[in-house]
Amino acid sequence: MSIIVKIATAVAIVLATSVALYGLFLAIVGMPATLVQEVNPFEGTGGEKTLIRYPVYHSLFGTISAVIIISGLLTRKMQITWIGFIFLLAYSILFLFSVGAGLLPMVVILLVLLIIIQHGMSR
Amino acid sequence: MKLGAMLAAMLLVSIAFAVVVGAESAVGNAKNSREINTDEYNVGDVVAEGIHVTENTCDLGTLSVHTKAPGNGKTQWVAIKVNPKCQVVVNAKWHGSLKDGPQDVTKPILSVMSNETSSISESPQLGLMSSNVPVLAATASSKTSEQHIYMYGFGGPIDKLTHKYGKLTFSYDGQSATISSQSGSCSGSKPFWWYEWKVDSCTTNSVNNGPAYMVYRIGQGSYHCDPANTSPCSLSDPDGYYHSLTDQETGYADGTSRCTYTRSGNIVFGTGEEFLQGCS
Repeated sequence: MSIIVKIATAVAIVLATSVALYGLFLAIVGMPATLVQEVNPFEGTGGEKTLIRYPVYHSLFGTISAVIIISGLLTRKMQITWIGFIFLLAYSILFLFSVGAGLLPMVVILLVLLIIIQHGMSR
Repeated sequence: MKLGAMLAAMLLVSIAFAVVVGAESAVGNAKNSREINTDEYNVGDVVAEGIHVTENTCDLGTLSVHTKAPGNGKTQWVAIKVNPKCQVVVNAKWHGSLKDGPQDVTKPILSVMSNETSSISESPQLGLMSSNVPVLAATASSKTSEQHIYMYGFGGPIDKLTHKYGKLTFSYDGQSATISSQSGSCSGSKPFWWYEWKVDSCTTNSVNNGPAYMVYRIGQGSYHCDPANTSPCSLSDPDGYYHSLTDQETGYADGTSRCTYTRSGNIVFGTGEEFLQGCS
């Protein structure tokens, strides 16, 4: 295995691990949100803003996809890695307006890395 | 003796009310019996559910209705109706004489009683009234209705992006309802530091505090994806997915309530609602 493939694999594992951990973080700690109390013009109350967090369990799809990618890379079974990647890509597109927008850049980088790894392994 | 009269009255209430308000008629079924202790329920609560036999007939099984006797010569009244969904609903509860109950319940019963039965005597109550011992009027109860409305993305209802909450607590006595408290809030998620679903405004648009047959509150939240001109917020036309969610919680004198909502503007994929409590 060439040094480039080794580096690409290591970076891909780090990226996938960060995606998996971020998914866990969102499910356990939660996603930030701004909560605003209704302004009541009849009573002259409300308008208070607070930052809250609420758990988003769909982020576990990202975690599971990332775990599949990592297991494929560690066992050098690229079919498993690509299956995990497709799940992660689908998740990022479907949830584009919440966590997906943040994941998509990582998914694009992962795609480049996986192509490098695939190309290196098939030589 | 009292209990017998009371149960007879309750059955009569049930039958009479079903006749007068045009609700579904009910048929018994010995295979499916159920005991209902009305002391555990408030007005507006669904105590049993049947199935439609025909369009205007429900099979409710065998219902056995119980309530605690109040003592001191008083009578506890419970009115039960079957609604068009074949749900058995507690329609009114009160102590005292039949005349002390809500008119929309007592009028049809009195009209049926004068024609069809003389088995329910109210003389003890009339006696109490004539000796100036206070007879309890309709018992006021309280109910809270709360809903959560949300706008979601392509991930479906689990992909909630903006939220609107509304809560209404009202008291009712069969004749009128009054708001005891009401509140609402709005929220928008902030997935990453470079973009968020911003709450532009969150206001209480209208409140009818009562006392009235119907009380309600209307709240509205306005939102947009910020910054509007960058991806993914720029995917709408015009940019920013500017939209509003409006919630309405309504309470009625008979203890029923409704939670509804409307939306306007550009949404990503859909909107939904969750009834958190008491929206029936």
